[in-house]
Amino acid sequence: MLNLRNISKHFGNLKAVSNVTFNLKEGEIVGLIGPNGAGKTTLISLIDGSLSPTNGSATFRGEDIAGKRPDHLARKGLARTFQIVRVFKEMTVYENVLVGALFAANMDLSHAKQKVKEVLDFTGMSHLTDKTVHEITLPDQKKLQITRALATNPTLLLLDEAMAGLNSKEVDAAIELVGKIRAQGISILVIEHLMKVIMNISDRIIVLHHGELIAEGTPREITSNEAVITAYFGERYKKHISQMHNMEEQIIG
Amino acid sequence: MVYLQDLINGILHGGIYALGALSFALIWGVMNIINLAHGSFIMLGAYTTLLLFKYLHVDPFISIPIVFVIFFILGYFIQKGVLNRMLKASMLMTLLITFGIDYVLTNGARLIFTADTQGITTSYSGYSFALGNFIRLPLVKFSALLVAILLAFLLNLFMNRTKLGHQITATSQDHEAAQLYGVNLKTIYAIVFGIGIGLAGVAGAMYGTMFPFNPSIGSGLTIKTFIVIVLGGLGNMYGALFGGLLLGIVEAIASHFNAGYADVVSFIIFVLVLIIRPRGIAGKESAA
Amino acid sequence: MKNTKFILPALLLVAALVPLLTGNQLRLATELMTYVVLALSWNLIGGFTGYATFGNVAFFGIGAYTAAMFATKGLPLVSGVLAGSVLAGLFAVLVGLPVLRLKGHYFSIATLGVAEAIRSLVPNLNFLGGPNGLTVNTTFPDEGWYLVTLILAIGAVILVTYVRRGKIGFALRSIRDDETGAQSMGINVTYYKVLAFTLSAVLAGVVGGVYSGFLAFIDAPTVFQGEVTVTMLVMALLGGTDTIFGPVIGAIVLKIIMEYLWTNFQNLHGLFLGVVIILIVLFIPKGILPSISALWRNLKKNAGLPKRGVGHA
Repeated sequence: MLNLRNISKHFGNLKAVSNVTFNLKEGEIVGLIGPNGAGKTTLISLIDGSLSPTNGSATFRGEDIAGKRPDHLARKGLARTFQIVRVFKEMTVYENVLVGALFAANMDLSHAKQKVKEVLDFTGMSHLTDKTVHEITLPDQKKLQITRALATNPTLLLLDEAMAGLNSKEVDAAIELVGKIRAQGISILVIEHLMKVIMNISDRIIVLHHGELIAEGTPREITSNEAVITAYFGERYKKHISQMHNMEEQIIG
Repeated sequence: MVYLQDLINGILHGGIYALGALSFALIWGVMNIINLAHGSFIMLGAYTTLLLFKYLHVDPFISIPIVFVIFFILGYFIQKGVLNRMLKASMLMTLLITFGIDYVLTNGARLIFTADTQGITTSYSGYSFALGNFIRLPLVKFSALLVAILLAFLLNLFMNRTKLGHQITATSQDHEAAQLYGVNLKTIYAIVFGIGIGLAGVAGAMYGTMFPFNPSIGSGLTIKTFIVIVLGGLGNMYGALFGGLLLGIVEAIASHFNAGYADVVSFIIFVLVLIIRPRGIAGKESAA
Repeated sequence: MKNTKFILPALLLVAALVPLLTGNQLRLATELMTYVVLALSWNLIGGFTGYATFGNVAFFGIGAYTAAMFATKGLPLVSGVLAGSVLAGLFAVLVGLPVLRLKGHYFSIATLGVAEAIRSLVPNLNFLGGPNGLTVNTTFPDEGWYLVTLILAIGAVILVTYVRRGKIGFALRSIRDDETGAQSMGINVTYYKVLAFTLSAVLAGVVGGVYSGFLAFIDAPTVFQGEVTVTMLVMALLGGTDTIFGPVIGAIVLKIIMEYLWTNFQNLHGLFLGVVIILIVLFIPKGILPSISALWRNLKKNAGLPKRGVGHA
């Protein structure tokens, strides 16, 4: 449903993304990984229209989307969350979600209200309905980003580090939520630093390094890919292992 | 030849604008405060110089250090007492509080000095050098430009050569990191506001020797200061100098045709520059 | 919301007071209603949308000058007022498209720049009366001006309520809180920003036109003075920008205070306005209305009354 062909984004001399080609199929969950500064968020921003590509083409469900505005693409069924939360702080949880149903899903008020109730129940946020966003915790704000994205009736969801900063219990809940979202037939492209998460939920993983796509395959293939291990894990390998180890301890303990 | 005289006048006026802009930009750059009261501090500087001249017979150029010290103290305590209380406030609130200060200064000045237009006339006020047969270089305006350049140079020296200057630069780049290195943020801010207001006071002293003034000139000067920065670019000493001279020249040429158009032309140029290169001014496209 | 039910009848009650008001009070009430509309106008773009304009007086002045021009040509003032509000709206679209791309300080100062450019341009234009301004001859009584501005104020409240409660209101508040986030929710931010700016301009333009008839004489220093923008802005902030009626309350409170000072300490009133601004920012940054409802909620909580809302379902 999403096809990128040789897509590139340059900021002056910096090639943030260069010549990336990949497809995402209906109903698929694709993990997007790579070290810091590999161009992951830039790639997501190229897909959702926040940035226009320097070169290359992108189509979403057959429509050319390169250089289209984000609000236009949101109405076409493309939703995203942001690494640094971009929720509406002075509005209530309810209103945040309502906005997605009203505009991106283009519903009238009564249908939109119904939709909001549904998705708040779906993600388990109903108890926060009337809270103003600045009163709720950061993990809840991250969840709210997903909730309001679901209110837009998306067919493709782009998750940019939606689980960073969550504790292991919250991570488990988030993984479960992603599974529920997939069960609804929504495709997902997910950026995540937590290896446990990415290995767990992805059908396929693509790896970016210095803006280039260096590997693509199933989680099992990626973990044994030489290029990935040297480029991505490299000297940080140990750190990741210990990170995963800690997490296991937390879960068991 | 008439044009050349306009050009000379423009350059001479530009020095004052540059000095105003330099101090405005210092406050903006370090604390992200747009000081809407800046022009009114310049206005007060002119009145202070007038008082010193009239009652204590201090020459306007001699009074520069006195004015600087008075205004430094004023600025220091405004930052300590008021602005430091709202470091985390929204942009609008910060803008508004400086606007409130502007109102207090303008209306306070009206109460004390009346709304009448005044000027500082010294024994040498009318003197000018002849350059060739047609061009004249007014002594006072020329000296004011030299003072502006000298102060820009001294400020640069202070920022680059002293420990305090380094701390200020570090604070403007990353105030959290600066705090980790033991910089007392609130004190640094108070000092920066003090220096900024001190220089605004001096700009006022020079302004008073060159132009007639009244309590209402403040807001117009604030906008001009902003224009200079937009023209010259924020965060660059020489940018302020360049922008100041450019504005001075544009105004001088526009007023050659019609005195009423000087402001119109500079406002229009300002809005156009803002619109045409908003990214260049308001920030770069970022990869993050 | 429950306050709506009270405020419209309250305004009608105010209208019924007309016969009781004497000449000067009537003129004050007319000015107050004018400022109610201006504060509501500012709040549409500055409050709901979060684009703090420092130049809204430009629209007020355009409305005033257009109406006055029509009047000097012998055309009915009503047509001039309508034309003025349309012109103000068109000007807002023209200026808004580029200027609303600017953020924060840059937007505020750019709007200030536009307003100041017009203020200094108008006295140079001979067809607008140059520095002498324009005179509007009307025989309309003071009661009439008061009722007209009262109707406009009620109309403005209705318009703002409609905007705030409906789809537009959600778009504007989303833009205020996070423009990128708003875009990702399918909101065409340029469209809604220009819409808010234009509605704001039309409101200011209408009262500007009426004000020119009310004053019977206008010039650039009067109808383009920056203080008009500041006053409407402070009124909106004083009352509370995230509310429908905040600007109305703010206009009433500030006008009463300013009038009291103007009659008792004529020279101090400007100084006082400055002090009021500083005090608002330091002590009630959210405005009167939200502060009162916060207080009310606390009282309720302490009294052990159940909280409104869905609760833990």
